[in-house]
Amino acid sequence: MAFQNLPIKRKMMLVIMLTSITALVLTAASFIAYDLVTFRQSLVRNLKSISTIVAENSTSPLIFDDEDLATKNLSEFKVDPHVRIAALYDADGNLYARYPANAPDSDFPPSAPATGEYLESSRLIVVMPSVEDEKVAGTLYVESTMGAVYERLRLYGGLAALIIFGSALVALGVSSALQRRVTEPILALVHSARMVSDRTDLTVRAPKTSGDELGLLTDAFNLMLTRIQEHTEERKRVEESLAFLASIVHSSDDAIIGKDLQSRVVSWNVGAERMFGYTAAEIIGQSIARLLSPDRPDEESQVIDEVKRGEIRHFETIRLRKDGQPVEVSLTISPIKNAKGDIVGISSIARDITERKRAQEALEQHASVLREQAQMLDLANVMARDLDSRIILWNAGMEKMYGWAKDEALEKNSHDLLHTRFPEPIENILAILHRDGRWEGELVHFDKGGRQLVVASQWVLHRDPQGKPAAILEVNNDITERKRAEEEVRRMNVELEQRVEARTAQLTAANHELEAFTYSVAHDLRAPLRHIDAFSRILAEEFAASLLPEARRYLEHIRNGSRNMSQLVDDLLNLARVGRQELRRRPTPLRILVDEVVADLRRETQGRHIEWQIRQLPTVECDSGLIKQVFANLLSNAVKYTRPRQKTVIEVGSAKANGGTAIFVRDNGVGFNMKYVDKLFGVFQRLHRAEEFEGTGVGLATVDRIVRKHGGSIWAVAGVDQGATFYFTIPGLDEHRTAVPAIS
Amino acid sequence: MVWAALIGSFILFAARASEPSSDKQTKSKFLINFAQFTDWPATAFGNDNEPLIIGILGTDPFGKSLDKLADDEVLRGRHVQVLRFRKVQEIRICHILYISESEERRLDRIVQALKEKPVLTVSEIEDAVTHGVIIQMRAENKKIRLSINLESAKAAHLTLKSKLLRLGQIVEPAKK
Repeated sequence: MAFQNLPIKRKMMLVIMLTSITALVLTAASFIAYDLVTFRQSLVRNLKSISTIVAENSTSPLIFDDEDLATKNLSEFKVDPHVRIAALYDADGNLYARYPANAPDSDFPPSAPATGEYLESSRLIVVMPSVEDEKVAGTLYVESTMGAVYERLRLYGGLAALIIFGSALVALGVSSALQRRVTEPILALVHSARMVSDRTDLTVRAPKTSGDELGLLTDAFNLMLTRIQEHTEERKRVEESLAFLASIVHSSDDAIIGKDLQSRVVSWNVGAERMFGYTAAEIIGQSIARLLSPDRPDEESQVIDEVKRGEIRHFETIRLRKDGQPVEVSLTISPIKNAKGDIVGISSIARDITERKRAQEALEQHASVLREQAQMLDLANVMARDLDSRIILWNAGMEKMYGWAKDEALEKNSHDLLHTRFPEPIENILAILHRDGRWEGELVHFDKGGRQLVVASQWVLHRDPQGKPAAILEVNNDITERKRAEEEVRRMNVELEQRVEARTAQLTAANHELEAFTYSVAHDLRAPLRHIDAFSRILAEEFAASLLPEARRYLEHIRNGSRNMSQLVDDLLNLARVGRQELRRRPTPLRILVDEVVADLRRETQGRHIEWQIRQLPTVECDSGLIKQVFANLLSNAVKYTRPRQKTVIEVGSAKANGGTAIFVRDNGVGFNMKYVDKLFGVFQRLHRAEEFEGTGVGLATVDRIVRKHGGSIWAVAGVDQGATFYFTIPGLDEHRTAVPAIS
Repeated sequence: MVWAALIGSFILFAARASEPSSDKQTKSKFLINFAQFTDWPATAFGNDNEPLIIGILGTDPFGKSLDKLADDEVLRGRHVQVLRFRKVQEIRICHILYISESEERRLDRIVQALKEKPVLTVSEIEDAVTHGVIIQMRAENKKIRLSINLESAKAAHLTLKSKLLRLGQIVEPAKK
């Protein structure tokens, strides 16, 4: 048996016994060890003293060679039974005499060993010289067995065993007397505990016999018993009150149902059996779901979520009996909490309100229908239908509009009757209706004769006094004619647009043709012009002498005219080229273009005092050749129209205009009347007479075309004698973050 | 010269032949070793440095062997000196006296002359102890045995150790 399972009585005795025996054994062992050591020393001492005497007495036989006497001397060792052999060696180290006299040579060392004591495991050897008058006469060799030691060990061992045995007996007596004092209170405690557990007698108390830890344990045990007793009595009281409550539940007419959090039934009273037809045995452990009405699938889970948050819900709903019949019930759902306040289940108390509900509903429906009839009967085309779209109201307006008599319409499904086409899925419409309580839209209906009607329809959701949707009121107006008119207008608009588009296309084509024509004419005009110019120059230079002054003047007119025409043709060709040419955009610093143009104008501006104010200009993605033409035109115009000024100021820069950035060229020249600003950019449109300022009237038209071709715009601001400012924009100007002053 | 050498070696040979040399040596050793077992009265020596003198009276039976042994011997803390005497009158100081067999006829006179003097007398003459000699050496079974006259030793103020006494045969002096 393992030590742990021994009775505590045995354990204590074992401990005491083992302790005392261990102490005794250790003591005895150390005593014996000590004694053996000292005994061995005395053994050596004894042997040495005997040997000394023998050695002393053996000098004369050795010196005077008396072997008999030597042998006789050695026989002195007889007194010590442990001396096994002894010998005398003469001065030369030869074996001389031996003891016992008949011992064989092989027992002895062949010659005298060195003086000393040799303690070996089983024998003790003493070798000493035999000395007379300071002269060594020979050597004595004595060999003693250690038998004495072992004998003594045996004796002591026996003695120690006896003492230990005796002590153990005494310890047994003492320990059994002592352990009783310790174990008795424990055994008493055990006995009391057994009484409690075997007989479930909680009045038992353990006797307290000591004030030590065991006494404390006994007190604690008794206190625990008292507590358990109190607890048990308390529980009995609780059970009684529970039984009382249970009988109330049992006898209630209401169905009282307990569910766990997974909606499984855990309790089911007689009221519930009566109301739903299931016995407790059938339903307990099953899900409550089988009671739920299939048309309210989410109701239970919603309610349970709320109840799990600790709310108590009262509502009315429909439940299914075992036989499949619906039962209208008023429900109170509340959480069941445990002692810690955690929700561990749900209680449902249901009361059958089927009859009450049915009566009430009928009354309400009737009343509300009457009310609505009264209000709307003659005002509009009104129908009412229940939630399944069955027509429950059909007024005179409806009869007239659709051709269906009231009797024909009532109880029919309204959508089937009228072949309703919805502008969006009916589910969406119903969702809006339930959300907002109303819906408006256009429907397509067919009347009794199969004629298609477009109606403006207004739906209103009618709710019962509980707020539950009960019926839908629908008011329809025939808008078929209006729709037809609208459709006509739209069709005509489309037609008009198409016509405009066609015209525009024709116009564009004609423009292109015109342009091509202009180009070819201008091109073809250059050759005859060059002829006219060349021959009139030859005439003027070669035949000047033979010509009358008048003829020379006319000739000069011809040459001026042909030069102007040549310029005009060039300008027109340029204008046409701009229209045809593809743009070659690349990043261009505008400042460089302006500087080049100013340099090109130097010949024209020679002798004039012109102050060029060229501000910071951005780098823009553009066709640099064309934009250079823009600057060339604008700047040469500026130079041209400032000619009458004593001091000319021409400014080029960028500025904020019309919400973007624009490049401007400003001069202090003669300007123009803003009344004619529209004509400024037309071909051959001139605001000044050619006698005042020369020009073909093509330049600004070209500028306008270049700017527009870049996707930009151009405009001018001026006043008569107040100078002019030309602005143009091209895309990409705003991308450059250059500080630009706003136009002042 | 050659003759003299031959004669010398002959004499030596003859001497050796008369008595075995080992016997001579053993006897010399005995003579010297008696000193170890004998206590002389303090008056026997003048001072501590005086040698122990072994005297030989009459014909010397030991020859060189005794001298050889005596030369490097120290007995009872004293060097040993061997002196040879022809007549008893020559003996002035002597601690051990060997009385040769040649003196058999004069033995009683010699004993008388040394009476009460601390001299350990040793002899091989038959019945010497009964005539008052202290130790007599005799051959027995090829070994030398001792006879001791304790009375004479006492008379000479000498103490013989018991260890020596146990070796020998104690003899009472003859009543005359």
